[in-house]
Amino acid sequence: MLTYALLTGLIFGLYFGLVGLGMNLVFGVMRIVNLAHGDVLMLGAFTAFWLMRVAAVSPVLTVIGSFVLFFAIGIPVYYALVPRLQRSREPEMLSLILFFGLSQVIEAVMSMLFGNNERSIPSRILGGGPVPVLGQTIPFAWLCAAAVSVGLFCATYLYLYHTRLGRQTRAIMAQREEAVTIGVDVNRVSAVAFGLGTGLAAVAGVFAPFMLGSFTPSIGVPIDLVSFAIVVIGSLGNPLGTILGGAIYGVCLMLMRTYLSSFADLLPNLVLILVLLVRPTGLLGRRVRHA
Amino acid sequence: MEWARRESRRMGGWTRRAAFALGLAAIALQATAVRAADAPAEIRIGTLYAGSGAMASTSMPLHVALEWWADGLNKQGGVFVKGFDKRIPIRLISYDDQSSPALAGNLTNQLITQDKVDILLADSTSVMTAASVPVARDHKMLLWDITGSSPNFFSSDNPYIVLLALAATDRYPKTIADFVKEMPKLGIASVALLYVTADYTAFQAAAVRKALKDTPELKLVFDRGVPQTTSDYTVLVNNMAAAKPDAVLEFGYPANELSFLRALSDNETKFKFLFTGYGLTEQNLIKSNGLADQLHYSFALAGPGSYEFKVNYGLKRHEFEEAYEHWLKEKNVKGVEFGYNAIAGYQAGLVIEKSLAAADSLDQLELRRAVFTLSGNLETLCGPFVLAPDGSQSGEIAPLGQIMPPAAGSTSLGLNIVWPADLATAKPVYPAP
Repeated sequence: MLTYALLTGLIFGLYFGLVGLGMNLVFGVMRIVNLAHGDVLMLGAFTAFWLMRVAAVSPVLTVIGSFVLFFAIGIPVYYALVPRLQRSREPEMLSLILFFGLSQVIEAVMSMLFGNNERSIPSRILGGGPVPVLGQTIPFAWLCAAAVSVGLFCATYLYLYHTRLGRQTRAIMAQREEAVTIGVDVNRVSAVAFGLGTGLAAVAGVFAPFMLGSFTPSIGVPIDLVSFAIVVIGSLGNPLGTILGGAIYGVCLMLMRTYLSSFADLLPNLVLILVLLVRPTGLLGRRVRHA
Repeated sequence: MEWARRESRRMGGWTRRAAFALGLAAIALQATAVRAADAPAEIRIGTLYAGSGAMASTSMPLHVALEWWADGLNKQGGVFVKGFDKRIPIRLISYDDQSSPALAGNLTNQLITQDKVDILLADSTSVMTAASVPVARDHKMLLWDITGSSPNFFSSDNPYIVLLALAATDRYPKTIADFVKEMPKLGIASVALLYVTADYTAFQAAAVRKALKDTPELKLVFDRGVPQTTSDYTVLVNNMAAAKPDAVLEFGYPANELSFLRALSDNETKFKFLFTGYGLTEQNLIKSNGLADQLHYSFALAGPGSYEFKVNYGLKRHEFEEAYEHWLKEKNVKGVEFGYNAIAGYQAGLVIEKSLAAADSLDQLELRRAVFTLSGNLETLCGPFVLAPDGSQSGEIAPLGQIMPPAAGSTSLGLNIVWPADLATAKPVYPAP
């Protein structure tokens, strides 16, 4: 049972790394906390439900289509909200309020339009049955979600470290003012990062019905809490630290479900408190020395 | 002369009697007129519902049924109130508690103190009702508790609560708890118990656990509680299967049931005997998620959504279902399914209706007295309405059913009642094919 819990925890953690990746990318570049992140994920889940279950579109097309669609939506949303926010005195604090409001609006609209019933998608729709591992089984959909997550981690790494736009993104993450001084178009780079964050959340949403069992318009806020915990565990502002945060969260969650299932809900909060007490910058965070 | 005097006395007696009778009639008429004049312009019924969050799928069908009930009565001029001897329109004052118990507590207070409701209804489920119980008691308002069945809510020193649409949780699983003792006769030797740790499901699990302990031939090989927010059961199902139980008993809320059945489906795991808390109650929801085949040969309590109780007041099940679904279409209500919760909302309406027809005033303790007059006399879609002295529900016990695959040429799942013996329509099929 222990090995199975560790293995499924790792697979689950890879997926949760993807869940937190977009949020951390947006925070890293713009220093804003996007509390509508979980709702974008929920919209991704609805997109998957309609495309895969109702219109029988292939899963590969659904993943690509969702990413492109939500990336395209993210860009105008960025220009409508973020530049104004960053001109304010306390963009970080105001971002919490603004995006929480946006989250509530998205949830309310989806509830009004489609009701609050749980929706799910059979795992078989992805084309495979359960995979036997260590005498037990893992749903095929989990492996698909983990594989797509790893693919997107690699793509994010390549983007950040091997493209001009990615290097500019990292420059803004490291020192926003200096990046401006050397001529980086902060708005353009940030808009792309916001679009990427939105697209990544939507792809995570495509797999949400398989990984979370079912979904409703109300999953946004709980997902935000988990994402935030993962991001803080890995390190705020370090997108690749999210992978580590996700893995730790996934393994701890599965161990809790195996041995202390009644308390599994406490986990994100406990790990979050522990990390904040022991290493406030996150596990991969750099120490900041103030003169 | 004597005759004339006698006649005069007789006539005088008649006159006096007639005058007395007329006087009484006048007083009665005047009293009625005064009562009618004193009658409020509307009966304010305050209620909470979860428009979003974990409880929304349970709460919304119930709330929509209440709206349907109030709408129907208002079209007839309102609800008849004995104390005012007339029909009075109903005004439903509803707030969305967003599945937040803390918010539910505040909103209950608002319904009582700001809206000054005459009748106070709780949101569905014990989780949400828990917040309203102390607030109602503090304000000496009778809480019309629809499905908050936790035994913790009821005590002999609190007259301000009555349970309407569900047996108290320690009594509700009576049939499955009784059936546990029959399991060894089927060849079942080991049992797994998986439950949500919320009051409603934990009490049911406790009742079953007690029955298991009383049956030495049965061994409890897996006993786990999970938080209500658990949405993925994959690891739990795998761990449970590893314990190789002959029978699995699972108690959760509809969202949990869906995730549990999804995990069974995704892992292609089958148990020889499977009991689910909502397998029958939320069959439509389970079907709409493509999980109906997971229910084949499983067991569940056949509540009012699936079992037709004898009715002496209100619509029969198919009549209500037809009217409710017609109303959903007419009002363009999306994402709400007919099922137990819709029936529970209707049940609340029926009990309010009958109680107001028996209540001499809108005084809260008089309302309680009126509700108690229905105990043992009212039979609705939820079953026989029987109140215990503390206001908890002792009737409305659901029989145990086994869900059968659809008959040839049909898409509807079949149902065999297997326990109690006097209601049974078939013997249980074990092991599940």
